[in-house]
Amino acid sequence: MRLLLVEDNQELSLWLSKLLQKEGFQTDCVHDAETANVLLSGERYDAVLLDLKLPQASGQSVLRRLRRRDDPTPVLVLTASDSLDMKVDCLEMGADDYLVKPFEMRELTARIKALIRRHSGTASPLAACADLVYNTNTRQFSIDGAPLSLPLREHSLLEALLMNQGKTMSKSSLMQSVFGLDGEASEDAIEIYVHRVRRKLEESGASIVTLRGLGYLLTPRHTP
Amino acid sequence: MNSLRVRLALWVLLPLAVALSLSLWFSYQDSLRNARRQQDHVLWASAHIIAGQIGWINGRLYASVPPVALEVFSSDSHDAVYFSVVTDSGQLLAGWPDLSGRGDPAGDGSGYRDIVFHDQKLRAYIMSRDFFNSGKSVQARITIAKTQREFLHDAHTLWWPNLIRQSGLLVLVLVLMLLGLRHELKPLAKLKDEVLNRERADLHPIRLQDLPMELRPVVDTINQYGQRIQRHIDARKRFIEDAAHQLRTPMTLLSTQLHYAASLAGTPELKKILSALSESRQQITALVNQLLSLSQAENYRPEQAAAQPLDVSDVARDVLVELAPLAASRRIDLGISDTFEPARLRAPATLLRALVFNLVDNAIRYTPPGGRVTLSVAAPAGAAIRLDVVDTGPGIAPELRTRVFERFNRGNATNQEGTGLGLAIVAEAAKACRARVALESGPAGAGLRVIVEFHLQPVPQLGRLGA
Repeated sequence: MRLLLVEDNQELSLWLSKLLQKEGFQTDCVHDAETANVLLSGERYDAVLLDLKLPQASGQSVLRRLRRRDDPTPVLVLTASDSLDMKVDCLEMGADDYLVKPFEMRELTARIKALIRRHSGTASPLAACADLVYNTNTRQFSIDGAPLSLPLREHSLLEALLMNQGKTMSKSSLMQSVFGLDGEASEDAIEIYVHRVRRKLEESGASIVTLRGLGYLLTPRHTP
Repeated sequence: MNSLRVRLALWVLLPLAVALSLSLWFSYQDSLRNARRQQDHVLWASAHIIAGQIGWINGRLYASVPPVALEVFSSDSHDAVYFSVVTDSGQLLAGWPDLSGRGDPAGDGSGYRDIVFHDQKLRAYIMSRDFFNSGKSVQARITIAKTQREFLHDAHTLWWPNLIRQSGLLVLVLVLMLLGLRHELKPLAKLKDEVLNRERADLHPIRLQDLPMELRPVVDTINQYGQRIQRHIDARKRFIEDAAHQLRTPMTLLSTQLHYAASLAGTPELKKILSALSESRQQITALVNQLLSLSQAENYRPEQAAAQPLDVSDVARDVLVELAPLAASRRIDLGISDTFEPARLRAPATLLRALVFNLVDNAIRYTPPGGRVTLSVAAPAGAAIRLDVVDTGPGIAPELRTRVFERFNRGNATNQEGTGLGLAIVAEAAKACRARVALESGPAGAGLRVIVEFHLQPVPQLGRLGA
């Protein structure tokens, strides 16, 4: 996969590209808007990482020019500003995602991958939480690449939690997902299944967290 | 003597008193003149009556003083009256022998004199008249004198009403002036109160309308001064924001380098060092982010970022989801209470989130593993929306409760991983959200309960609700 990194800080640019290379991205680095425009009109990239603060012309101008050519290359904006207006502006201008410095490397690579996946539309649809990945075509879970097989109920439970990331799921809505509408099972049963799945996720970066009064939540583990 | 009121009063009253004294003195002189004129007239009339009674009897000149000549003097003052009738040859025809010639040593004129007789001050009238009889001419000098009691009494009687009137006038002016001064100095007192009762950070210009013209330059100067301070404060805030901003790129670089190094690290010890470095780096990142968040909350101006309709319970739920991993890693039972209802209000979204986030984050960090952190949101009809964050941590001693809102003040905690800015952000964000934050002891006296009340009106003070 080929990336264009537009970042005026040369040192950061160097180290980022090193790291991205290690992650399997072939990365071209440019340090100003002018060169970025030239490269973008001639070459084809899978994604662009764009810093907004560039010498002379701004990152916004690169983005605007790209979209005016109807070039659909996904753009991930990297910026030191986390003002809401800036975010809204960029997204309206046609940026696909937005990351505020300083960011975690894992998040950067995850977002790039997601962007490319979404953009190509051909890759098998994946849902992921940390290193727990779910292929919605094959309906197969894997942790860090290793397949994870689960009994039917536990599979339904984890699937429901994974597809509702960022939200809590109450016991009753989980019951519907696991047992369907003809639920003769009690809510205690859910607790048992949650307990079992939790044990199987112990080695993964994802975990099921309980929020008292709200329900269950699948979320990446906190890393200090 | 630095009271403007006293000085103004003195400046008006002193000249006024001088003017009134002068006027009194003149009127006293007038009274004296009038009384004298009256008295002189009586002396004159009496002298003429006496003169009229002088006549020739057997070739000799006789003077008989009729009672009426002296009755004209009768008064309550019991003045002593002296008279003498003396011929030009020195013969005393009537009266006091040694009176004649006093005050008129030349013995030629006639008229009014002030004389001293028997150690008494007297007013005298002297007249001469020639009497003819068979070719013989005799000049008689009539002197009539009177003590001054009645005269002085008259003068005082004439003058007294003036004194009363003018003193009354002075008192009236004094009272009116004090009332007037008090009324007119009210804007000054009001201005003083307005400046005194302002909030610490409120540097808005003082309104000029309704102010007397004389006060406007003063207020203008105060306003300009305020503007200057505001510019300084703005510059300082901008500096913090810029500094935090400038730190972000190097932080990213550091993070990238550390990450790369970790992927190369060979020995377990190197891995350990790198992970420790990475942890420190994350702490600095957190601090920089908190500084920016604080700066944003501080710089919030309603006219720049409009408040939008939000649901406090939605914001709280999002924050709980976001902080769930942290709570789980610290084995904190995070959740909501039975009171958790929709509560709509208008507020700046980022700041309301920062407010709730920092409260919950703080509660999780300061509560020992195994503890509980509970949120509730209440929207009672007709009352303020209320958000409570209750934890089972060590709590905060009442005397420290106002100080924990200061920057880098961590209350009684010493070795926590927090940045020390969380509650400072809460304080600033609460101001922007028109909320009031109070700290109380948790249920049964343990832990901490933070109460956030959202008002429709701006609430100036912070941390006053809890006792």
